[in-house]
Amino acid sequence: MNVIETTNLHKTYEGAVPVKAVNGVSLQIEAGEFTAIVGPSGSGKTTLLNIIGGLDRPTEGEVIVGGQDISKLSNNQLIDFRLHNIGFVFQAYNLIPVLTARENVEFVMLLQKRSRAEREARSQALLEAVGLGDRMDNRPTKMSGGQQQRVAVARALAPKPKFVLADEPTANLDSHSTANLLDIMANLNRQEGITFVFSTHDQRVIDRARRVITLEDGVVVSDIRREENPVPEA
Amino acid sequence: MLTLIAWRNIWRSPTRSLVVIVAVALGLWAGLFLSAFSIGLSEQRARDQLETMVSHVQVHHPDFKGERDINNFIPDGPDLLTQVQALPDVVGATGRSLAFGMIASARKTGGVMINGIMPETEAVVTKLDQKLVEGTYFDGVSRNPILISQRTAEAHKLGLRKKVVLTLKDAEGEMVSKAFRIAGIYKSFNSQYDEANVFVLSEDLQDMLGLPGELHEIALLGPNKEEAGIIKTEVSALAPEALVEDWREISPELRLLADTMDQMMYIFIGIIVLALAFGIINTMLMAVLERTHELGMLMSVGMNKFRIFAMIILETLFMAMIGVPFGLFAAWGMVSWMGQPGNGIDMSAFSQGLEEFGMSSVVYPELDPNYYWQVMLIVAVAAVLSAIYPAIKALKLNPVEAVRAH
Repeated sequence: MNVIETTNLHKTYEGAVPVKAVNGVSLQIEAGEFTAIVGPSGSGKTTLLNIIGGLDRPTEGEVIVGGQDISKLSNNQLIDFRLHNIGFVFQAYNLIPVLTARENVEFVMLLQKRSRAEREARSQALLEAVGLGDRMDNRPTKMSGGQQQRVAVARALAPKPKFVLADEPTANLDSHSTANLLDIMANLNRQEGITFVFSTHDQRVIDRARRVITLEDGVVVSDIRREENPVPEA
Repeated sequence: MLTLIAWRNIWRSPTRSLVVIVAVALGLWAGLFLSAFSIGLSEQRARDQLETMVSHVQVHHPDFKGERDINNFIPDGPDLLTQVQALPDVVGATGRSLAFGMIASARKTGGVMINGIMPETEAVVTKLDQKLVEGTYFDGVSRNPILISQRTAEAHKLGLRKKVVLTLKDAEGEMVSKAFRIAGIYKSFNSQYDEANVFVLSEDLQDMLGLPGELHEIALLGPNKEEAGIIKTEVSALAPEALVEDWREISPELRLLADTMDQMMYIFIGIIVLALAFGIINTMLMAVLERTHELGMLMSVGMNKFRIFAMIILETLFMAMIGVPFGLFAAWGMVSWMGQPGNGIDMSAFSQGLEEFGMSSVVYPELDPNYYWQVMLIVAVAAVLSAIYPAIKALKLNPVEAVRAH
C-alpha cells in the first residue's frame, strides 16, 4: 500500500531567474519502506521532502499522502494534517530547549489532545526505545547531539505518524552517534513497520537504506531497491 | 504545556527579561507615586479650601452673590442655622454677616471683606482659631475685637492691641465707621485670602450694618466632600427660597481640579505604560527573531497559529506581570508611609509659591486602593497589546524558511 504518491510534481521558485527545484517527479513510497532520497546540493531533495511533508506546495502535480491529496488542503488543514500524519526529524534537532526530553516528546501528543496518561506512557516507551530511558528529565542543552537527535526521533514517532521524514538527520552527528541513530531507526522500521524517508547525502545513511532515490536537477535519475539491508548493524 | 513553555521561555534570556521586569516595576512605582503625590496635592488643596474656607455647602439669599448687597440677607437666617445645625449629617454649621468695607490704620487704607462671625461655630467650620499666629481668638479685648491676617498686619505695620477703623455702607446706604482693636493675627495657607479678609464678631458687624441678627451666609461641613450633595438636598428642603450650593458650585476651580485629577492620573500611567509597551515590544521582537528556527519547527510538527499566538501573548503577559506586584507593593508601601501624619513630603522650599495657590507646604500622597487594581489591569492589557505585533511577526513565518534559518 502506498503511503506517499507523487505524480508529475513540479516546483519552481520564481525570481529574476526562475529555478526549477523539482521537475516532474513521480514516485510511490509504500508503508514500511526505509528510503533515502539522495543527490548533490541543489538537486531538489529537500524541496521534495518539504512538499511531501506538507511544508511547501508544488507548483504543479499531485501529492497523495495516505490517500489524501494534500496539495488541495488549506494552510490550517495542512498544519492539522502534519500533526496527525507526519513525523519530522530535522538536521539541527530542533528540540524545544526549555522542555525536558520527556516534555519534548509529550508536546506533540499534547497538541493532538491525547490524555495525560497516554502521553506519559508513550513518551517513556519511546525514549526507552531510543535508549534515553535514563535521560528523560534532561533538557536538550544537557545532552549530546546524538542524544538530542534520538529525542527528535522519539518526538517524531510520538504522534503515531503514517511516516517519518528526516532531513539530513545525521549531518551534525559523529560516526558513532550516526551509527547508533541509524540502528534505532532501522530497528523501528523493521520491528514496528514505521516508514522512514530521508533526504541525505551521508553515505552512511545511504548504505543502510533499502531504497535509494537519486535526484539530479529536480529529476529522479535512479531508483534502486535493495531487499536486504546491505550493511550490518553497528 | 503552553503556559509552561511561555514561562520557561522568559528565563532563556534572564538578563533581558529582568530588564523588562525591573522597568515595569520601576515604571509602575514611579507612575503610581507621582499619581499619589498629585492626588495628595489636589486633595489636600481641596480639603484645605473646603474645611477652612469654602466649606461643603453654603446658603445665601438668591440675590446676594451677584452684587453682595447687604440687604439681601437670608430670610429667617438664625432659625435656619439652628435647623441646619440639627441635621444628622452636618458636622458643623456657622452663620456670617458679610460686608465689603475699608480698613484704615495710621499708615494706610485698603479694601477688605469684613466677616462678622460666630466664633465658636466658625472654629468648627473653618478652624479659624487654629490659624492664629499671634494674640487670642477674640479674647483679651473687651470691645470690638478684630482678627486680621499677618499680611494685612505687615502691610499696615500693625500689631496686637493696635486700633484699626472699619468703614462700610450700612443698610440705609449711609457710611459708618467703627474702631476695632486687634485681638489676634492669623495666617492661613492662602495669601490672597489673607489679604482680603478680616474677622469681627457678628453682632458688632450687624450693629454697624443696622441689621441686627441677620445673616448673609450659612456655611456648613458634612462628614466629607463627597456627601456634600446629600447635605445640599437636605438643606434645600429646609430653605426652598434660599440659594443652597455645594462646593462644586461655589468653587468651580476646585471642581475642575477634582474632575481633571482622575484624568491626569490615567495620563501619567498611560505615558509610562506606553514607554514600557515599546520596551516589551522590542524585547519580544528580539525573542521571536531569535527563535525563528524553533517557531518554524513548532509549525512544522503541527502547532497551529492560534497556539503560537497564545504562547507569545502568554510569554509577554508573564514577563510584564512579574514586575507588577513589585511596582505596586513599592508604591503602596511608600504612599502608605508618606501618607501618615508627620511623614508627608515637605515642600517648604516652595511654600510661598504653594500658598499663592492655596496649598499647604507638606503634601501627603494618597491613592484610592482601587487604582492599584486598575493599573494592574492597564499593564496587563498593554502587555497583551504589545505582544500582538511580535506574535503577528511569528505567525507570518514560513515554516520551511524558519526551519532553515540559522
